[in-house]
Amino acid sequence: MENDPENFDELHKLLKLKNYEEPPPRFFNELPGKVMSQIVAEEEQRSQSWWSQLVDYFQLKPAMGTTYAAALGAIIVLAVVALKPGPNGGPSIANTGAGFNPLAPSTNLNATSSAPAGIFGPQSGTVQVGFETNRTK
Amino acid sequence: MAKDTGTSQEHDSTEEPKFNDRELVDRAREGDESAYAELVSHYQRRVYATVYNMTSNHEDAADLTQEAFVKAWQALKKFKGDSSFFTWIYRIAVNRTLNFLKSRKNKKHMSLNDLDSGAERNPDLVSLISHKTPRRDINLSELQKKLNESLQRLSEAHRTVVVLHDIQGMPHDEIAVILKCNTGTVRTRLFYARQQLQGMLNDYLK
Repeated sequence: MENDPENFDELHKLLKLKNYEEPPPRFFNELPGKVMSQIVAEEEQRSQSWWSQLVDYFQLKPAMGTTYAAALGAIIVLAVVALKPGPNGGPSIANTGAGFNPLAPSTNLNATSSAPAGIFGPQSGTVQVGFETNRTK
Repeated sequence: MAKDTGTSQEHDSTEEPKFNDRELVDRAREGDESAYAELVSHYQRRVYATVYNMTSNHEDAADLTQEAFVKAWQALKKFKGDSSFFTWIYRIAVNRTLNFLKSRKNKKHMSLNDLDSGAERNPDLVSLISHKTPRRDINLSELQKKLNESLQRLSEAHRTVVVLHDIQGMPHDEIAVILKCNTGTVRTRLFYARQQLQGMLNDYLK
């Protein structure tokens, strides 16, 4: 008898009662506002907690804070010096290329070279340079 | 297997296409709070009703519904649109409620909402109570209490499918998506849940 669909029909009739249960008046008018307030509050709390965690960390370890501050200061000074405009208008870091990459050929070498004519000329080659070197010995 | 009755299709997605939530979801994903507030307004009744019917407690249902919508906002960037927003928010709400029910295992406290006056005019309910006694009001409240007690005696898995299908009117395949199981499981759970409910409420179903 329990499998009789008619019995389930009676059960469904009774279950309809659940659809008449209503929350207190104005509940659905207020819920969206509460949801949005909680969203804003949690986002504020999250950003505050990030900052307060950082502050707390450095308050607990002042030596670490000083070290980080010094390192940050050094990085800023280096960055300012490196990016300071050079005589050609570009960052000064471009004119000190030799200091950063000693293996690369220096642009200054070609510009101010006082080597005898011919050494860097089209006819010159490694043989000629080697000859000069040998002669000085 | 039990046949599906008319109650199951009452709230089906017939009204879904009229409300185009795609644009609102896109705007909300970009941080538009007013768009999200509109989505909350649209879906709050069904989400609340589901949670309430699973807990039989208004205060818990109010908190869980609010939490579900807040959680959904925070996870909105992860929403790929594979399912509808409606299914997605339902899944969040149902999962949070199931976790809550597991945590409150030993302290089941009902806090029932009042019955709308329309219940007294529903012919199905009238026929049920008129067979028992002419004292209609008392018996509607009594029926409500008995029905909620019986629902709370079901396992969470069984109660969830009864709430989603027989009370909320969701189709089997949508419930399967929400619960991440197959429709066969949904049908089986539904059948056993109805059998148990029928046994518990036998005195009120004659």
